Amino acid sequence: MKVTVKSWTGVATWRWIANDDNCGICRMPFDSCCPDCKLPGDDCPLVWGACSHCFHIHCIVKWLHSQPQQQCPMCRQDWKFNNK
Amino acid sequence: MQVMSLKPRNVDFQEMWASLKETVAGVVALQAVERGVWNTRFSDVYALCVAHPEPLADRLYDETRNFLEEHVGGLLQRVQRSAPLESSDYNDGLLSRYVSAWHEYSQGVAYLNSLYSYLNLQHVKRQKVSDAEIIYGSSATVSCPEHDSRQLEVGELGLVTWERVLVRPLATALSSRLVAALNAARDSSPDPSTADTLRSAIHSTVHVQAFRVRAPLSLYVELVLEPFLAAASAHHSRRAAHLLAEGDVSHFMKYVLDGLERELSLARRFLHSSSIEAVRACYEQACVEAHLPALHADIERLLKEASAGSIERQDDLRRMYALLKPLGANAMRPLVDAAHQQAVRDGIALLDAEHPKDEAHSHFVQAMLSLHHKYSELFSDVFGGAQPFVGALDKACSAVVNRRWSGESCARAPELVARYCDALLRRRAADAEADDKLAAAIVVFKYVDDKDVFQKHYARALARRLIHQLSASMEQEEAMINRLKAACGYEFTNKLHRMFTDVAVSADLNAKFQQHLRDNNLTTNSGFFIQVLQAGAWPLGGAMAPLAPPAQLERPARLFEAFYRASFSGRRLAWLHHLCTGELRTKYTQRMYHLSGTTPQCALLLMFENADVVSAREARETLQVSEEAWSRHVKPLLDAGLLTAKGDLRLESPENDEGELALNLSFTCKRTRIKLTCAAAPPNQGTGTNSGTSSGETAHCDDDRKMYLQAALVRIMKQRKVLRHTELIQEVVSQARGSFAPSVAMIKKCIEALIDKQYLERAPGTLDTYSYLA
Ligand SMILES: [Zn+2]
Ligand SMILES: [Zn+2]
Ligand SMILES: [Zn+2]
Repeated sequence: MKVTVKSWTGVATWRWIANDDNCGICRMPFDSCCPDCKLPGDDCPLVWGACSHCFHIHCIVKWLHSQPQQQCPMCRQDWKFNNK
Repeated sequence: MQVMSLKPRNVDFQEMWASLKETVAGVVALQAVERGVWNTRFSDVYALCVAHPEPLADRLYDETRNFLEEHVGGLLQRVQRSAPLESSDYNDGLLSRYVSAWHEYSQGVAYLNSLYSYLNLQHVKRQKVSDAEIIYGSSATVSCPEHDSRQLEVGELGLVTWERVLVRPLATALSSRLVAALNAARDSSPDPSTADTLRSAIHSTVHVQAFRVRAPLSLYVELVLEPFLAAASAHHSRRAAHLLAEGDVSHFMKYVLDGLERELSLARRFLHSSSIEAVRACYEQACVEAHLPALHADIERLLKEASAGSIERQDDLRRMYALLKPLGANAMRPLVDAAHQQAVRDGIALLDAEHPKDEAHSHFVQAMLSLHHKYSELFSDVFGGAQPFVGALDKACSAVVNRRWSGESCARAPELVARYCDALLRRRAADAEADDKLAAAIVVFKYVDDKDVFQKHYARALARRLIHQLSASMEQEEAMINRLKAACGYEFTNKLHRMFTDVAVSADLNAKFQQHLRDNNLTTNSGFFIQVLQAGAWPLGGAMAPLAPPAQLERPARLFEAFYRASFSGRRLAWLHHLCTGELRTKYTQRMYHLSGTTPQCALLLMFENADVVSAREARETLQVSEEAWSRHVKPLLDAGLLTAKGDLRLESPENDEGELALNLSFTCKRTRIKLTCAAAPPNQGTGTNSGTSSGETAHCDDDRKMYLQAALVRIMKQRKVLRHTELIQEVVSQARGSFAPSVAMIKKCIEALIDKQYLERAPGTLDTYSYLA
C-alpha cells in the first residue's frame, strides 16, 4: 500500500424529496418550517399524500380539520397519507 | 378680669367707638396695649356686632375704614416728607422711611385683625364671596376687591388701604428707587442694612396683595418686576455688545455665563421666587439670543479643536451648550449639526488612514470603535450626553459605516465586520480579549444598514468554521449568535441557529451510525465522521459536483446513505465533495506523512496504488471531477510537490490535456502533517450561493429582499385588510429596518408583483388604497 486512508470526514446536505419547493398551504419553502414552528427538520416534518402532493404535516392536519371533505388542497383528490 | 357678656344689648355706638378707636390707634401704631384693655375692646367689637335692636357691625366697619384711611394718610406724610417723587436716588431716605412705616403698619394691622376677630368671623365671612365666585367672576361687583371693601376682613382692609392711600401716590418714587437700587446691587453688593431695606420694600409689594386670589403679584409686577426687567434688558444688551467687541467668543461666553450666575443670584436675593425664570429669560434674550449668529459662527472651529483634544475648547463647548440649551431646539440645531459633521469628518479620516491591506477588516472595526468611543466621551463630557448629541453621533456613525468608497456600488461594512468576527472566532486562544472584541463589534454592526448582506457573509464564514472545525470555541460562537439575535431578532439569526443545531445533531447521528455498524457487524476500515446539514440553512454551493470516489472512500459513504435512508424517509442526501476531507498516511516515502485534503485529492492519490504515473485525462474521467473543479483540486498537490507534472500538462483545459501526473516517490517535507488546500469555487458557479464577492452578495440579497418584502406586505395586508399606500410603505420599512433599508421603488415593484399574483388589489374607486384578497 502506498497510501492508506486514516479517516474521512464527509459533508452532505439533506433536503425533502418533494415535487415542489414550497408548501402549497402555507407557501413557505420546504427548506424552512411551517409558520407555527421555529426550527425545520425533525420538529416540522413533511408528509406525502397518495396523490403525491406534499405538505408540512402541521399545515395539512390543520387544513383537513378545517374542511368538511378530506381532500388534497392541490388536486382535490381524497386525501390519504402515504408513508413511502 | 371682666367676664364677657354674650347677651345682645343696647349699646351707644358713639361712646363705645370712641374708646375702641383709641385702642385701635394704639394697635396699628404698635403701641403696648394692656391685656385688660385688649379684652374689653375685644368684647366691645362683639357687643357692637350683636347689638339690639339693630346690629352695628356695618357702622363699626365703616368707622374703622375711615380711621385706617386717615392713619395711612398720616403715614404717607411721614414717609414722603420732602423727597422728590421723580428722583431715583435710593439713598435719600424715602425707602428706609417706607420700610419702617410698612413694618410698623403691617404688624399693627395684623394685630388689629385679631382684635376684630368676631367681626371678621361672623360678619365679614357671611358677606365674603366664595373664592370660586371670585375666580369665575359670577358676581361682577366683587371681581375687584377694592371696589367693595365690605368683603374684606379688617386686616385685609388695612392692606388695601395701605396700597391705595400710601403706595399709589408713591408708586413712581418707589419703583424708580427700587430699580436703581437693584441695578447698583448687581455691580456691588449693598451693605446688609441697605440690602435688608431693599428686600423688605420689594417684598412689601408682594405681601400687601398676598390675600388676593386673583393676580396676587400684580402690584409687585407693576412696581418692581417689569421696570426691573426693562432696565436689565437694556443693561445686558449694552454689556453683551461690549463683551463681543472686546474679545473673542470664548471670552464672551465665559463672561456671559458668569453674568448669568450673578443675575440669578441677584434675583434670588431680592426678588420674589417666581421671577427667577423671567430674569433668566430676559438675560438670555439680551445676551445670547441677540448674538446667536456670532455664537453659531464659531461652533465648527470649537468642535474641530475640541475633538483634537483642546481642553480650553472643550470648556468653550460646555459653555456654548449651557448658553444655547435653554433657547430650545432651533438655537441648538447648528451645534447638533456641527457635532454630527465633525464626527463624520473625523470618521472618514480615520477610515482612510494608512493600513495594511489584509487588515482592512480590523482596521475598519477598530477605526469605527475608536470614533464611537471618542465622540461618546466627548459628547457626554461637554454636552452631558444629551439626547440630540447621542442622536447626532448615531447618525454620524451610521453615515461613516455605510459610506461607499468612490467607484463602489455598495458599502463594504457588511463584509468587513463579518470578516472581523470571523478572524476573532477562528483564532485559537491567541486573543484573550476576543470576547470583549466581539461584544464591541456589535456596536459597529448595529450601524450597518445592509444587515442582510452581513448575515450572508457571516453565515458563510460560520459554515466554514463549523465544517472545518476552525472555531476557537463553541461557547464563543453561540454567544456571538445570541448577541446578533439580541440586536436584530430571531428571524435574523434563524439560519445561524439552524447551522449551529445541525452540528450537534450530526454528532448524535454519528454515534447512532457507529452503533448501527456494530449491531450489523459492519466495519469501515478507516475513521469515519459525517456532517449532515439542512440544505436550506447552509450557504453552500456546488452541491451536486459528481465524483466517483475509490472504493476505500466510497464504502463508508454508501453504508451511511443506506443507514440514513432507512432512518429518515422523504429526505435526499447530497455529498459536498469539495468540503469532504480525508486524511491519508503515506507509506511510499522515507518518513510517514499525514496528508489531509478534499475527497478528489485523496482519490487521486489513491489512484497511484498500482502505477507511479497516470494520464491526467484518464484520472479526471475516472474520478468524474468536473472540468471546472479539476485544476483547483490538482494544483495544490503539484504545489506541495506530492505530484509532478509530466509532458504537456494543461490543468486549465483538461479536455485536451495529454500530460501525465507522476507520484513524487522521493517526496520530502519538513513538516509531517500537510494540509492540502482547495480554493473555493469562483463566483457565479452553480447556484451562485457560493459567490465570493460583495457585488455578487448584494445581487443575491436583492432577490432575498424582494422575497422578504413580499412576505411582509402579505403579512401586513392580511392583518389590516385595507391600507393606504403611504401607511403600507411606512409599515414595511419599519419591519425591514432590522435587516436592511428598502428603497421605495423596490417596495412598489413588490406591491405590483403581488397585485399580479392577485394577493392584493387597488381598492375600487380609490387611487392610493390597497385591499387584501383572501
Ligand atoms: Zn406549510
Ligand atoms: Zn410546523
Ligand atoms: Zn394532491
